[in-house]
Amino acid sequence: MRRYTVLGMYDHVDSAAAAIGPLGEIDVKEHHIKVLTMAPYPHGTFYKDETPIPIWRFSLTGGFAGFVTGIALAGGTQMLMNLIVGGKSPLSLPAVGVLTYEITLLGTVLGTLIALLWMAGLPNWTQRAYDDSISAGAIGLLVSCRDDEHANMIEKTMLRHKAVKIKKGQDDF
Amino acid sequence: MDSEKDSEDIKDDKAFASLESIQAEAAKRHIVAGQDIDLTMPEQWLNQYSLAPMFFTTRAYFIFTIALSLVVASGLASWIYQIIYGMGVTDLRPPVFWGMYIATFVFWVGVSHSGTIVSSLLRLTQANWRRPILRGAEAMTAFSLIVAGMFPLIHIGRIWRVYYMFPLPTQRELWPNFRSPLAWDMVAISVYLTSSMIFLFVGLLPDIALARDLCPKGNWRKKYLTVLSLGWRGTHREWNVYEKVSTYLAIFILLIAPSVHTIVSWDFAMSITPGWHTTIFGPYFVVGAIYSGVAGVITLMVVLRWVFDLDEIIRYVHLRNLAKLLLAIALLWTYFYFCEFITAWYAKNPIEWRIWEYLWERYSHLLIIMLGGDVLVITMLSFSKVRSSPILLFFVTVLINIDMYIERYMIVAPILSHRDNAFTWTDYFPSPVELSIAAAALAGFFLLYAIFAKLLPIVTVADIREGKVISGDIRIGNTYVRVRASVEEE
Repeated sequence: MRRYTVLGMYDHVDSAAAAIGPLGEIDVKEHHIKVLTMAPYPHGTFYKDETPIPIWRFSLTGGFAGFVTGIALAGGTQMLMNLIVGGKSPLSLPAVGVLTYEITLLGTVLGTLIALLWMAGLPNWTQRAYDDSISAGAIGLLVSCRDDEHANMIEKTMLRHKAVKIKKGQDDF
Repeated sequence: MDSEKDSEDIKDDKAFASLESIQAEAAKRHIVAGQDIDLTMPEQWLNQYSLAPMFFTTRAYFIFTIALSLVVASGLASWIYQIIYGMGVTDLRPPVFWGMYIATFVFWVGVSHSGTIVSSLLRLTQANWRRPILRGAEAMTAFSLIVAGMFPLIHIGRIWRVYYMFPLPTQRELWPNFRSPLAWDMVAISVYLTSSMIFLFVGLLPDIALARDLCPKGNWRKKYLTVLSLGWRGTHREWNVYEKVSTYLAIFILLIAPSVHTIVSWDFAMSITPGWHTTIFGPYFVVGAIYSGVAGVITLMVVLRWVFDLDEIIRYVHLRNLAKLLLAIALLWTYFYFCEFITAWYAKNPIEWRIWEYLWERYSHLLIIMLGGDVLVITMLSFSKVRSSPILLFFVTVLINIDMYIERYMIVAPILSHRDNAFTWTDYFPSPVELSIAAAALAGFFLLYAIFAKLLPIVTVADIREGKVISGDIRIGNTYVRVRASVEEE
């Protein structure tokens, strides 16, 4: 969904972090702010994002799906299409165990990949607020705002706090 | 060094300086021993230096890839020849059904192991020196597995019947025999390849986005970099998810990797063939795989330094730390040699002992290279000067992989050539076709690596950046020491 956005670019991490507080004073909530960087900063550098990231649910679901698939593939087919060998059980438990282990882990890995895509909102190739200088180490504060007037207030606040460049527009947040 | 940009439009782009100026800047920088990252690196320079292997092509690279392509082409021609004229062009005949192809397969699966294991272990233990070597190690796993995966296809001869291994009901309602360790192996390697590719891709994501941003408009790479970056912008949410997912994947990879080589060992150990049917094979193969894999990572790091001039990123400290790890694994590997031999020697089981005698009678030259090489490696790695010298490390690690290849070969072919009834005993020596295909595998591995370096970032820029963000040098008395902020969650 397109919204009014203001993207302020900062040269230094401290300036960007210092701008977050004053933005709150002009009615910008933390969930209206996205920090764009080309390196992961320690948790709490800009603000404490407490949004849960339950990757484990995806991994567990994937693992369970893999487990069921493994049992069905290795055990189900042996039961369905017997290969009778004298003195041996039609169902080979070691084979079922080995294949189920592998396919369960495949499921967890695929589940974890889906978690990355789902929770990070990827892939998203639409035109979104961004600036290539982020790749060169700049830090972007992307703020979603109500209207033009609010955008102007945010711009002024950002410039007051050492933003080196401002981009305003209507983009996907 | 001669260089040329491979696209006219790059020349006009102000983001990229010339390769010569990037290299001159690198030469000016003083590489301080013991420091894993130069904290004074300007961001723009780090970008250009790290992505230079992608956007600039040196003469060394051209010569390297053309030579590799020729070897791969000769291997392909040999394979086509084998498909046309049948398996008779190899030296594989009863009772030696498994020869060089299977030995090469086991070798490459082994090489693949350490890439992701090293990467995962270093990630999980938050070893800060890990950063520049991650990509190279992870890519090594993916490419060596691709090469390994070719060998069962080559070995089966009638390639058009490969679907027999897939879980498809045939007209006789027979599924693949999942009781066979060969079927387990196929599943395990497919799982490992898929997981390693995902692990590699996830690690690549921020760096692909970086390359996308820096890639000049109109350059042929721009489109696929845009698609592969998935629209990554580096929001804090994306980074938080990315960090967690990387940790999870590292854990899962550590659960998968040892199981894969254990299953490869069961191709042998689950049979009742003397010399193969042994309980030690699982851990023996896993440790052997890690040994040859870590050696492979070091070889690749040295080659990357040479071919792409990445001395500023892959530093002496990285090679030294990897060499220390390699020394520890070499000692562990020697312990396994000892365990394997002492039990056979002390028990003197006639059939098993006869195999050792046979190996010594017919293959003493290979045994001497294998065991002597092991002693030489441990001796050399014990010296700090060797651990700090890229050239010596290159020779040591290549020697390790020659030893490991011989070791794989000795497990596969000699044991089959001298089993069961004495009147079937024979000698096996790989035919030119087999030798050519095995050589092509080696060249193919390096070729895949070389192509990868042209298409995607070979340096883990985001990880290096993270290292810069959380590191600082503080003065204590007359020296400076590097400290790092803990980024662990509360």
